[in-house]
Amino acid sequence: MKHILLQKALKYKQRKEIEAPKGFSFDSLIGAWINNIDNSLLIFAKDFKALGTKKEDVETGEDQKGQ
Amino acid sequence: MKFPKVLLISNRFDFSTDFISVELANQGVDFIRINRDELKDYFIEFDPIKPEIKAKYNDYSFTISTDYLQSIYYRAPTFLRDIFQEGLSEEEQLIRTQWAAFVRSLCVFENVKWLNNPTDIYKAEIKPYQLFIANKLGIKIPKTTISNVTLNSEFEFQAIKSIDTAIVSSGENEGFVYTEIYKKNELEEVKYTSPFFIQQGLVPKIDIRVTVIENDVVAIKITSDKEIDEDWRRYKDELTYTIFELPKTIHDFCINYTKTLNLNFGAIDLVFHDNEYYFIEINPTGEWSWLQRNTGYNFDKLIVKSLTNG
Repeated sequence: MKHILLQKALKYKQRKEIEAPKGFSFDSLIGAWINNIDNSLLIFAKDFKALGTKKEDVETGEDQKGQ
Repeated sequence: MKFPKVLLISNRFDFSTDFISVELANQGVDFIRINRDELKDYFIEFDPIKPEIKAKYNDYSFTISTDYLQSIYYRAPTFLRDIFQEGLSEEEQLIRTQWAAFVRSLCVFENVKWLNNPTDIYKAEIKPYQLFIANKLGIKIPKTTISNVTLNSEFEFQAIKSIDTAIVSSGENEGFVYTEIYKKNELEEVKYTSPFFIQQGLVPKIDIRVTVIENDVVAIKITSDKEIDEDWRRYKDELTYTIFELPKTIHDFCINYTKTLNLNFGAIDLVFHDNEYYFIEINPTGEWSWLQRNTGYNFDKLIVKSLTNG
């Protein structure tokens, strides 16, 4: 019998690589992602949903931190 | 050459850290953010005895020295669960294991403030230990057994959950294990090959996330139009988040508990059931930016306050 923890596990397609947000680059001195055109911050972009739900809708557990 | 007062250990894709960088910059605090996924491109020298780090990256260099450094915000896993993923090159495996060990080694900066020190995180992430300490400090916890056999219990509902974050890969897919609720008699006695938690299922319930940063406590009720008996993370697009005041005993427990685990930051999950507060777990590197977006509460400012206050 399938392990009880696996019987109802949420299945999703494995993410090969995290893609950089389109139109933004990470600025290591600012320590944040900025817009390539106007230097505005990704975290304040209206359509940026990664912060609206946990972990960009891919649940990894809170202690994984992007691994 | 920069001599940062605050060091952020993160990952490029950990967007929550962006908030901390921005807030530190707004307050004029010298900081440096080291992303673990960029470390392979650094030139770095670490003297673990002094301790001191000299590093060069892109077109700037910096020195992490106890003469300047006040605090470290550590946003990194202490348990690496996927280093032997199929398809990783030998080089990539070394990058993962050795840099992970490198960032853990920063614990030699023992006289600075940590949110949180990886050695404390390691212990605090052991879920049975979390329950053991919570019970000792007097809060209610759900009756709990760890077993590899499903049992017919006295409880009307049973919660089955993993003892540690469980992510399993199978071909191109991955599976994430949530807490699942089973009704009494729904489970037959079956022996499995690995253990899990069997807990008293607290149904009906209200889920509460308590973020503790030193002596600051922010409690948020997580509710929905429909009754949520199982893991609320399954319903993340249909939730309402409401900040509220905890009773003093529970508020004080949250501070005391976090301190007992030697943590300056903790994200505690509580459940309100049958007029009682129950401790479920603590996440020592827990998320908060999704709560900031949903409530407007500035967790980033609270974290920066802690990082810059002695």
